[in-house]
Amino acid sequence: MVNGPLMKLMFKRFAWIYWFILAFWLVGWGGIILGTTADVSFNIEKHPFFSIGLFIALIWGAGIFTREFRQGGMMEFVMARPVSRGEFYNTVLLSAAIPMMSLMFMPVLYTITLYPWYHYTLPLDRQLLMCLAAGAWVVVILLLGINIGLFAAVHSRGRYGRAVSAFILAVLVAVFMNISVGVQPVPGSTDWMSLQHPLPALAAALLPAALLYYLGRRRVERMDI
Amino acid sequence: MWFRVEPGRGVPIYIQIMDQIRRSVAGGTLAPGEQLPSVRDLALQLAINPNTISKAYQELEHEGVVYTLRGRGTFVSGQASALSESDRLKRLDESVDKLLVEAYHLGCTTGEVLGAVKKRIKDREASKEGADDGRQ
Amino acid sequence: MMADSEKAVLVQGLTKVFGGQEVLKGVNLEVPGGSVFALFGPNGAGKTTTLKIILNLLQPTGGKIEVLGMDGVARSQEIRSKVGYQPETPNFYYRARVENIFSLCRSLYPRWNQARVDRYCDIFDLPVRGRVSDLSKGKMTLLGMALAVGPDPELLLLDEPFTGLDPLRRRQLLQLLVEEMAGEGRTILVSSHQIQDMERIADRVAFMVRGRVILSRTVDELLRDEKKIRAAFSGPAPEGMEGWPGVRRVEREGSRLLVTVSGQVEEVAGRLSGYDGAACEGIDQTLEDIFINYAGEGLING
Repeated sequence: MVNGPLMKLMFKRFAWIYWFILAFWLVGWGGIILGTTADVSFNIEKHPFFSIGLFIALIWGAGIFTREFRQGGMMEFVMARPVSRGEFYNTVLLSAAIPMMSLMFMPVLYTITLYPWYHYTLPLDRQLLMCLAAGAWVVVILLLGINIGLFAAVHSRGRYGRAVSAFILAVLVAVFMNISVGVQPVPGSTDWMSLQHPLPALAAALLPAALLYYLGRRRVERMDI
Repeated sequence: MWFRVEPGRGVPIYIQIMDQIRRSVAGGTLAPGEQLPSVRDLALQLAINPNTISKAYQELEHEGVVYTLRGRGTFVSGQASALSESDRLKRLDESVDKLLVEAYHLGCTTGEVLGAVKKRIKDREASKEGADDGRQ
Repeated sequence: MMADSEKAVLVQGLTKVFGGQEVLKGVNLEVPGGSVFALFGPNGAGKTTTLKIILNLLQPTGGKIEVLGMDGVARSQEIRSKVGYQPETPNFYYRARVENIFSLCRSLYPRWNQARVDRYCDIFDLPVRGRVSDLSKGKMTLLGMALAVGPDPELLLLDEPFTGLDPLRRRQLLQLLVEEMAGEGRTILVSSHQIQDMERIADRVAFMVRGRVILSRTVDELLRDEKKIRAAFSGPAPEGMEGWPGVRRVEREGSRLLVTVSGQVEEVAGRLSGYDGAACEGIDQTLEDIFINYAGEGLING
């Protein structure tokens, strides 16, 4: 239930994220190669990929349907063609989720490409699992952002729609900041869960992801474009 | 073939076209047996709805001004009107009314109007014979 | 292709509420297959909203929509594969080149007639390799038109297709529309302010005012039935004429009466001439007169 031609367009549209990831990796890679000669060990807990990912997912998700597609008229352009709303929703969601996931897998990218100079405190398989769990939670936050954005869009003519969604966004950002300020992840937070217990964290992400996916899809299927 | 179509005149376009064809037939610029353009061609040329042209042709056929041969086209018939006696007289009255409005404002007497009508009829017959001779 | 008697678009009791405001208040519309249907109305009457609901870009609040014999909500995707839509404000992916827009659309439709699109581009002088963002407003409208005919649609929905066009382009577009209906019997539903251009090509017109269709007739019927009669009397003028069948409005011009008549023109004129020293004169109304007549009334009486 993904539209191929549309997906191609989305990849073009979101190409900047892939360039961003590439640049990020190159800069980090170059910095480490040039700046250090000694054997460096890498402590995942000190690298805020997860927090960065959460912020991007939330803010980007909130604007993806409304700012990027609805206000620019692209949503109308696409939806006047024989594309179903479910297809459109899935395609946009997937085209946003893939780069967010890729961002979460950057530690693994470093580990593999920097191998002899750079060590993780964790073995590779555990790292992969951890990145997957972190990615799943970033997608959950992306979906949350999408739902907030859609709520604001649908109620934009009402008095409180924008205010309510701005408030929710602000609260979430504050919570994420609290999580990421401490060097040690707060026990019980998703970050801590994905670090210490990646498998349960991954499993725990599935339920909110499914719920938020369903809610967002229902909204898109019933909204005015 | 070109006709002047004026939307916004308050007269249905099919009637505007009918009037012009009638005038051309009466004036001899459209000879009996001559073929009229096809509905599609005329519609494209004048940028008007093909149904409008069809309607004009149908009404003219109904009046006996033109006839249609299936698959061949529409032709000028050159016969007298096929309209009923009362319809013909009604239409004539309408045209005479227009003439009388003009005559009233010009201050013409009854004799002047009748004289002018008779003279015009003679002129037209003469020029039509001339046109027919020229064509033969 | 559909039989002529079938309805290409059938809208019954359509309502739409935006943020508590009722924009459509029970719209009824019947567009016969193979016809050209013009939708007139002042700005904000709900024409664009109606067209968007037909495409399911907007969800109806209430009422029934059937397009090409299919339910307008449940089977909207199938409907959209057979409908060409030209939006009022064309929204494109502005950074793209015109040809990229074409290839995107070609891949989104099950059927796409590129030869036809190329022909339109040729006629309209559209720069196929140019960027969409560099096009003028008129060219943007024409690009929207070329995209609308691309899928060989059974129904064309055109929202203000003459926006920003010079007389030459307008005539070209009219001729192309004539070609569309002459060749393949497409149904065309147009919303426009260009009443005279629409008079050339429309079979039927509907007037929309404040979220309602107040009148839907064929053009010929309207021009035949909607007249004004100016009447002068040497004796007293007739009273209570508003109640006469066929009379829509009576205005006084000094000692004369100006009577707006709908249908039954001859009857009203005959009845008037029965009065003392009556002199009557029939006046043709243009489509624009009739529209302003009806629309103005709707606006005042609300």
